[in-house]
Amino acid sequence: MEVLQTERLCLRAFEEKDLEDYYAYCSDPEVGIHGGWPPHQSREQSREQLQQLMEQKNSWAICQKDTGRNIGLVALREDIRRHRSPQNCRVLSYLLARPYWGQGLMTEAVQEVLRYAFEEMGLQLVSTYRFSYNQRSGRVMEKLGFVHEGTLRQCTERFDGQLLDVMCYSMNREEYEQWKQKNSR
Amino acid sequence: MEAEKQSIKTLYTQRMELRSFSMDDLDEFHALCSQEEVMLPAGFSVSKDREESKKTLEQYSQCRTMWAVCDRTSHRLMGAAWMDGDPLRRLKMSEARMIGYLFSKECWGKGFATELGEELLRYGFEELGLLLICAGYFSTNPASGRVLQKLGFTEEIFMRGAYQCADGTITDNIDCSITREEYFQRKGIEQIKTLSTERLLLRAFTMEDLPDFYEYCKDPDTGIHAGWKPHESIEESREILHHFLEEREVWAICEKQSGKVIGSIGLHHDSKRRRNFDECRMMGYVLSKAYWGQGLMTEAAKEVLRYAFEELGLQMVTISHFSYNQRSARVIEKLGFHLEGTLRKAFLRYDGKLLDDVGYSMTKEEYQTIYHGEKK
Repeated sequence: MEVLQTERLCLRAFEEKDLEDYYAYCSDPEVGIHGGWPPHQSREQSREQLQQLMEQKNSWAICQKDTGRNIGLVALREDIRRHRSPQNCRVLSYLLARPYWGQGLMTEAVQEVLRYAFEEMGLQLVSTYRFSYNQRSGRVMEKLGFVHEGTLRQCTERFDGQLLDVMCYSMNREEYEQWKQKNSR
Repeated sequence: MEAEKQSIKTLYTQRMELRSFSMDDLDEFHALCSQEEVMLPAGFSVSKDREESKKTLEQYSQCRTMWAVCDRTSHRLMGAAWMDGDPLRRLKMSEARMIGYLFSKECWGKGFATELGEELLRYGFEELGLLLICAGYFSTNPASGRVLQKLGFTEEIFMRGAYQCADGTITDNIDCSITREEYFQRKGIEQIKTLSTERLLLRAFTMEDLPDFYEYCKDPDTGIHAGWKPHESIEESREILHHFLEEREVWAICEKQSGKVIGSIGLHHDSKRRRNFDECRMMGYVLSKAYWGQGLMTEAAKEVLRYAFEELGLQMVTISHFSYNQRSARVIEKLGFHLEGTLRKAFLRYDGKLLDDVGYSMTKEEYQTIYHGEKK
């Protein structure tokens, strides 16, 4: 899997040594709630998921360049909501450990992943979804120029039984090119 | 419920019959599957030959989510309709479904789609008790959008590049939905609000719940605690269920995992009993014996209390149990009700026994203190 570099971050495949960092942010209830999942209860649970991540292509561990610590993940997976081949359309998902919020790190990582998606993987469309209460994520999507397609009401049942609305976004190749031009000026 | 597992329920509209497919439909089915302008906008491919149509028909005739749509008088096959899991939502089949349909070209423009859609919505919300129904259409097929709009659907999302058709072209999909509340509002039927907890869904009863309802009502240990006689026949349960449907004060308690109705909980108007002001309701509940001891009743009652005080704005909720029903006493105490006292010989049970009734209440202020830690 290709290693991606930004100013402050290195995006690489997950490794077994990431377990402590991975468990630390997955057991934080404030992190999981935005993905609609309950905090991890044990290292074992994190270890299992980490194993799966290590096997997945296009799931990157977001690492801080100066400390080497794993502080989050970003992935391009098949979008099961769209009846499309993953060769030309994928869904973007990400999460970031709480101590690193508010520094523009996620925007920095996603920007590089979008470059990779459109310029190297040759995708036509990248979609992404968020729960309506996750406004932090909404700001990342808007900053990067994703188009809000609409909101699916009562879309997912959270672990505590609450029914959540899901907001849907996408970016096509033309929009990516436009955004790139605007931001390189 | 059992019957539905084996084959799809036959439905009727004024002009159409919706029944399961059978291999006898092959000639007409093949004619339908060969119409490009019918198949492509519905997201299907055109059948290459009779053999391929036959294979598809074999699948459809086994399928519990697919109807053959026929003319009620001539019995000719007009099209197909389906009600499947919602591909966009992570919800169960008992909570949300997607509907779709296609009609042979000679049936277009005669209002059949709207007539069919109305019946599918009625079946989904009134019989299956769904929370939400969704439907989508391709941006190249605006006629379908007009039908959905007429049926009361809301356009939720214009999903770009959502579907790669059989011929390779990629099209945008517009997804629409209608919620249970919206459906009943349109029909002018006032419905009890659906509530959701970790393990339970509280929703209005439907007549489809009768087998589950009868199952626990006939159990001698379940009813006796509420002071009623175990039901002796499904007819008796049917009458009481009818009453629940008309009264609209009672929720069916559904176990989310199985979709099974395992009890009921209600907020009853208390005026004929001990308190005569409108902002007071009396809570009553029953839970199938097989589900005792898992904290399910407490879970349901907590959510109903929240609804009562925070959404209905009630001033007081009361509850009582017969003195011998210690299981219920524990639930009531866990919920934080205030014990008022025991009305001795307050209730004549069906078997002639006089029962003592232990009464409790909770005020709005007490609720705030217990559940939100607010001090006066």
